[in-house]
Amino acid sequence: MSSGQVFNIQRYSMHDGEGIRTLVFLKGCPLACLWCSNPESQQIGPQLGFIESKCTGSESCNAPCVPACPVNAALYLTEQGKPCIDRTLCDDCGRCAEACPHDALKVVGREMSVSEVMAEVEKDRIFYRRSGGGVTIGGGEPMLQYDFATQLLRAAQEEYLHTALETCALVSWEHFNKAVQYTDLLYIDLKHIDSQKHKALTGQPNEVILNNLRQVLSLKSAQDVVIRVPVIPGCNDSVDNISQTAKFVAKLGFTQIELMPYHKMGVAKYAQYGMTYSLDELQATGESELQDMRDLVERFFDLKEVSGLY
Amino acid sequence: MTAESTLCEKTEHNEAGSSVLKARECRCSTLRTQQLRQLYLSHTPNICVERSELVTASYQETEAQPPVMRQAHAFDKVLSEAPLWILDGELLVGNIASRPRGAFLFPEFDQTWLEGEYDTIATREGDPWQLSEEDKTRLKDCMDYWRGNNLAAICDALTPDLVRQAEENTFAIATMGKVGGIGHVAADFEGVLARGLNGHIEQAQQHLDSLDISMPEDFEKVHFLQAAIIADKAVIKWTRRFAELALERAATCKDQDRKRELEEIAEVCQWVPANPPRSFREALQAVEFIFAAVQIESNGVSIGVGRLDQYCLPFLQRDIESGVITQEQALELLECLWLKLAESNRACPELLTTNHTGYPFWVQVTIGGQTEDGYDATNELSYLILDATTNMQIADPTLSARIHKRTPEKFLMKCAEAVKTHGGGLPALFNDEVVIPSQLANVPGMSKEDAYDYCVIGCSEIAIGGRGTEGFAYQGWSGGRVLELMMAGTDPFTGAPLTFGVGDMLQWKNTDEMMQAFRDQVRLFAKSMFMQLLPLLEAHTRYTPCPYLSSVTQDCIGRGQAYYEGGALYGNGVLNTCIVGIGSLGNSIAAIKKLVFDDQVLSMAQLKHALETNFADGSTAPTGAEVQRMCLGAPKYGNDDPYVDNITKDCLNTMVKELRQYKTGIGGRYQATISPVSVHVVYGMLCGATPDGRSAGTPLSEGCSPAQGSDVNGPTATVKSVGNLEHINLAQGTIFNMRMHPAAMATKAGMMKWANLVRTYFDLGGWEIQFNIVDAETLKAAQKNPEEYKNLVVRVVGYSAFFVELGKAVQDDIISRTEHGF
Repeated sequence: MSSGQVFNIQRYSMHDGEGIRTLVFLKGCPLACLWCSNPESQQIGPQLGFIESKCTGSESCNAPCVPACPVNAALYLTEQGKPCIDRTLCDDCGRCAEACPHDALKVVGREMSVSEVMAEVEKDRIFYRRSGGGVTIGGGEPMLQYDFATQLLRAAQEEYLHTALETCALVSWEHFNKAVQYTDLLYIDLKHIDSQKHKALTGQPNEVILNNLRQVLSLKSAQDVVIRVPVIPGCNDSVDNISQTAKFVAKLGFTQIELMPYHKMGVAKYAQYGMTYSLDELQATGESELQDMRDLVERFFDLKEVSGLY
Repeated sequence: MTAESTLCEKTEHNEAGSSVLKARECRCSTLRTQQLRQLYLSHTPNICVERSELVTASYQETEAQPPVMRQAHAFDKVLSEAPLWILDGELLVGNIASRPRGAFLFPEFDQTWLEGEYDTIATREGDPWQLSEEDKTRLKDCMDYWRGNNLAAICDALTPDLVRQAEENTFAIATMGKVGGIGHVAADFEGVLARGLNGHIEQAQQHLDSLDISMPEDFEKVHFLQAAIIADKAVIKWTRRFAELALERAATCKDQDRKRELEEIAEVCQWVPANPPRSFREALQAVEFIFAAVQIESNGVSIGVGRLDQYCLPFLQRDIESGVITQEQALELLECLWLKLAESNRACPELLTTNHTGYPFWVQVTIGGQTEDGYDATNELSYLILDATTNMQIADPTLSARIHKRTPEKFLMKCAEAVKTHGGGLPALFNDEVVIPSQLANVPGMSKEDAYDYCVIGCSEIAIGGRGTEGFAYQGWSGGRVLELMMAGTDPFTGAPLTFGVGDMLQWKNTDEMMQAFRDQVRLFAKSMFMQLLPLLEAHTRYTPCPYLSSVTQDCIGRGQAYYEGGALYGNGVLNTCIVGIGSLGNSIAAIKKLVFDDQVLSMAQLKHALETNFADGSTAPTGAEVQRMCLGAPKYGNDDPYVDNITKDCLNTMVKELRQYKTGIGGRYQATISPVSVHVVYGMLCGATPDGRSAGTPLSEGCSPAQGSDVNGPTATVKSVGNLEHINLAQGTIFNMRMHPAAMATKAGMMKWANLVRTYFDLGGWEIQFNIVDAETLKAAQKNPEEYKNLVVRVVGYSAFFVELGKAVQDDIISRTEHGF
């Protein structure tokens, strides 16, 4: 397979490895974490979204989106003159998005070949050279398309680019280890140490993930692997979970961990893609609690600094 | 007054765990400069009438004398009689008008513009000026003498009809050259600090004594040299009036500390700039005097201070070594100088105000760079100057840092800190590796040593401090007007025919023919602009030769000629045209090529009709709105797309090469810049709908930045597109404004990525880059007008979204965090 589903390629990514990087977001994820900030990445196929803030209403544009829809009644106008998508009928074909003059309707996800992705990645080579950057494959969960992801990583390495992979590691070791061979810097998420709770929060148990963690240091040196823990209030931010997690990964020989504070940047996307966000009432973890966790974790690790927005 | 520090730096952690500086109310290093800054901000800009009256009286007395002498006598009268002030707490003194934040008018250049604006100038929207009823009457009383008898009138009389018609058609706007004198210059500060004005006077006198006035070529020099002596003596007289005033104040001052300070001021003003300074303080005081006097004489805009960190360094080092001064005291003095330079102010007609609001004067200070022998020139004063700019938080002086291959990382990172803290785009960063070869390639007679010694003036322009620069000329060349000419040859708002060449887009059968039409119009346009320039040059040379500025410019005294007569070493090397809307131009030509010729999804007639109806005709198929959408969907400059980036590059090269063919009588070459201030807004107002999908009357693209909101592939893509232009061809530079959120620079790693972005832009051949740090106001505007801000990206680990696509609640959260300094 030399092509895959990509939902975004973002140049000048700041927080996904060394230097200036291009972040390739692959579409589709085996998990559905309650706090997911890229909900439009979960489904592997293309997906229609409606960004209400960009819609000016039918009065100004005569709503060309409605007649453009080939499926009767999948798209209709509300009383406010804005489109409403009946998700049970819509097949994400994107004709309405083509008609929209304000890009308020858009389809995320498209099939791209390895060489198409590489052509985009190549564009910033001059910046990688200066900054020691490269390409990062993320998602979604890139290991859902392990062949495609591995081919991308391999193609990048063959072009002497630095590669990074952001993964939840929910994939068989057989596939994972192939990808890891072409990865210079590996980020692995660990969302909860307890399998049952992991399943409740993400939809899947964590045994496969823990198994991969146990093996990965046979291929990579600890300095090239970073464990990432999203800190979600009330979900996995108990002292118990954080210390159990820290102990587990420390014992395996990992030396780097990142605590990633919860944020709500993705909340609006749920409505845009006809999904519901179940953590609505959640408040971000307080600064002092976060500091306690940092202190806790720092006993074991070189705690990586995680910077904020933009 | 104590030098107690009021710096209240505070570090806090934000929710994302990053450590950032909180917004601080006051940053001034001492209570003194903090109070002076508050006082400065409390003053309302106001018109000072004294200069107009004194100049009028002087010119009435000197009618039979040559212009250079008349200007010198008027200058002398102003400096001898105009009121002076010293503010409480000031360590450095010097007035640019009769009151703080006041502005003199310049009737001998042009004050007639005020006649239509007497009753609106105090209340107008952009940059109002206080003007009392009594002062209006005093100004009106001066005016009779000047009507039809000033620089603007002489320019008009010399202007050919064809150009006059072009001006009426708002082709080329050159108002600055008509109402203002020589600007975009930096005086020879180094020379005056070395020899004092007394040294200049002595040199002029010796030259005068050596002349054989039976020889015509010597006779021509007499009046200039005499005028230069009068002007330099006038400046000394003026600075000694400050000494007297300080002593008067000291005599009645009860506060013993302040009394001593006033006595010191008197001593300093008695000594400089007549004599070479004996201390860092005297050097800065001399700089202020030399600088302010240029403005009082010449009415130019963008008068720079040059490489302050180079020519003042020996004074600082000597004082620090001998213990005369501490670093902290040096910083306080710089802050005091900043407030004096900030007082520079210039009243403009309302039309020009639209070009640049916010009372800008563009007093440029240049730091860093290289020595004339190619060593890194960054020094301790460069760092202190960065601190002064960060601390003062005022628009002027503007600060430019020269970056070269061997610039220490520490200096670049210090600039990054300053950019982040200042927020308002300072310092701007200039690329030695392009600026220097550009001067060598484009400025006639430029030596390698002088090119290495360049300083920045205005926005992006280059001067060789004290050796001459572009001077007065500042013509605007709108890419939008070129498009209109080549497409239709008529004004889209009035239907009136434009000056020359009736373009007709319906005749183009392919891209080659379109590009030929473009080249034809560029040729005609450049010619008419040069025809506009020659009379201005003639009028300035003959009528306002500026003897004082000439006297502090190499080698006017040596050659016995004023600045524009050929006295300045590189005085006429550069005549400057500002190209406006290059992004809109490239996008428009690319859109026609793509939609009409390559993809053939639109006929030329359909496009023409849509443009003529401003995309509003709903009765056509496709409708106007649909055509606009197609146009907006065509490739856009700023996204690293060679299709349109190369068209933009070719257009710019064509325009610049055309300009270069023109030379003035004494060898000056026609050059270009892309630094439109906000001229792109004015030219946008005058420009109909364009094929890039831009609606009539809306702004053209700014500087060499992509059209507003059209760069959606992130900063590296934008940097590559802008870096694709041949900046080296534009000897007066380009401005590239980039938006950056403070959080992107919150961590050390973020700052280093920023530094790499800058270095890479310079590797690509960029000229200048400056950063507007996104503030809460910008984000609020983005909430309201998402179309214009669709390029604002939110970057978090493993997450991406455009700001305008976030829900309001999240947007509000980001806005509030941005407000609180992140």
